[in-house]
Amino acid sequence: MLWAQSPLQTEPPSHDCSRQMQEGLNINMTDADLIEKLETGDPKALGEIYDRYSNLVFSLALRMLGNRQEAEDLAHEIFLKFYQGGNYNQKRGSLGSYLATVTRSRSIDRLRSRTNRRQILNRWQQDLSKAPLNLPADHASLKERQKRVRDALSQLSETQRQVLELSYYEGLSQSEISKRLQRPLGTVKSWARKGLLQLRDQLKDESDDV
Amino acid sequence: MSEKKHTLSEAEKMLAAGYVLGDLTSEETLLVEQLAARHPAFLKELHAQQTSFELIPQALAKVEPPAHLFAQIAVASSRSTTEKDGPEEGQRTPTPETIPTRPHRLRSPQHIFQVLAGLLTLAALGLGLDNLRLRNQLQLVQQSQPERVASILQQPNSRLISLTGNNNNAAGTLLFTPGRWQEVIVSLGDLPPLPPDQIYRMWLALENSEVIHCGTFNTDSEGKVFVRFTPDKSPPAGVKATELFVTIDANTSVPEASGPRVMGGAI
Repeated sequence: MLWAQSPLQTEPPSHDCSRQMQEGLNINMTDADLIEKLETGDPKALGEIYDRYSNLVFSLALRMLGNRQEAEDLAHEIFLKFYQGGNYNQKRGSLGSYLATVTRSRSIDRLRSRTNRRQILNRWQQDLSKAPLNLPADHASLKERQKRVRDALSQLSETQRQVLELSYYEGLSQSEISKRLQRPLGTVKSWARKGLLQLRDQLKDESDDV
Repeated sequence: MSEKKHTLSEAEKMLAAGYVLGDLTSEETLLVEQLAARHPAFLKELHAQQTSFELIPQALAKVEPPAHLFAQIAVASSRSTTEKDGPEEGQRTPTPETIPTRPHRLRSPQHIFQVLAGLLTLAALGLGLDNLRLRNQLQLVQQSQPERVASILQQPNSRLISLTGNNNNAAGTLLFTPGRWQEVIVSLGDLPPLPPDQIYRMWLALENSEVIHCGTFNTDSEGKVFVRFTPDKSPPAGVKATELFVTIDANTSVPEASGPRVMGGAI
C-alpha cells in the first residue's frame, strides 16, 4: 500500500521552500524574471516568489491583524490573487513593496470591518508575544534592506516612530493618532512629517531607486 | 522658476510628507498635485517619501508562515487553473472567486503533468520533506500513477487537512476530495519510530461514531512517511466525516481503533 518508502535523509529537514524550488530555477533570477516565468505557466516561479516574500507578507499581516489565522488567510489570499494575475506593475516599484502595500491595504480593510478595536489590540499584543521569529532571510539584499530600515527607524525619535507606525500598521489618520496619544493634532502632524522626512533621508538609496 | 534651478524648500518637503501621510486639507492636496505636475523634482521627492513610508514593514521581525500554507495556495492555484480551463462535465462547481485566472493555461496532458510536478513539489515542501526524499517520491509518483494525484488535485473541492501529534511533535497533511474517500494521500513527519512488531494505522471517524480503517503504514528512520491510501470502505451516503486520527497497533492484529492515538486532525 505504501506509495513510497522514504530513503535515508541526507540533508537537514527544512520547511523553507526555496531550496527545493531552486530545482529548475536559477536562484539569482530577478523578480522580473520570475514574473515572466509565472506568466508562461511555470509553477516553480510561484514557489520562488513565495519563498522571497511570504515572511514579509505574513509578518506584516500578523503585525496588523494580530491573529495568526487571519494573517494566514490574508497571505493565502494575496499570493493566490497574485498568481491569478494581480495588478502589479513593475514600473511602479519593487515586488516586495507592492506585496507589502497590498497586505497593508487589505489588513486595514479587515481592521475597519471590526467593531471592537480594543479587543483586537489586546489580542494582537498577546499573539505577538508568542510569535516565533523566523529563520534568517534567504536573500542578502532583503536582509540588508531590513537592517537599513531598522537602522533608519532607530534614528527617529520615539514619538516620530510611534506616529509613523500607528499610521502604517493601524491605518490611523493623524486625527485618530492625536486622540489616541492625547496630543494636539498639530504636534502629531509635525512628528509624523518630520519623521517621514528623516526616514526618507536615511533611506535615500532605497527611496531614490523608484 | 526654471526646473533645473528648482530646489525644494523645507516647506515643500513637509507638504509632500503631509500628502503621503494623508493629513492635508483639500487645498493643500491640490497644491501638491500642481507642484508634482510642474516640477519633476517635487514629484521625485513625493515618490521617494512614499517609498520610504512603504519600506516601514521591512523592519519587522519576520515571522515564518505555517508550513502548510504554501501547499494550500498551490492546491488553490491548481484549482483556479483548471477552472479557467473549463469544467469537466459533472465535475465542476462554480467558484466563489471571480478574479480572472492567468489566460495562458491549457489543459494538455503535458501541461497538467508539469503543473502537477510543481504542485507536488510545493505541497510536499509545505509538509517539511527534504529534497532527496522528495525527489524520490516525485519520481515514483511520476513513474507510477501521476494521474491519481492529478485527479485529486483537479477536484474543485479538494482539501488539505492538517494533522498534529498528541503529546508529541508529529505533524502532517492529508490530501483528499470530500465524498471520495476511496483515495487519499498522506504525508506525515516526526512520528515516533516504532519497534518492528508495531505499525501505525490511520482512521476516519464519522459523525455517527463509526470509524473506518484507512490503512496501515510505518515511517522511515526520521519518522516520516508519504503514502497513498485506498480505503476499502467509504462513509455511508449522508454521513459526514469528522476526524482523522492515527493509532499504534500490533502489526499482526485485526485492525481496531482502540490503540493509543498519536495524532489527529478535524475535518
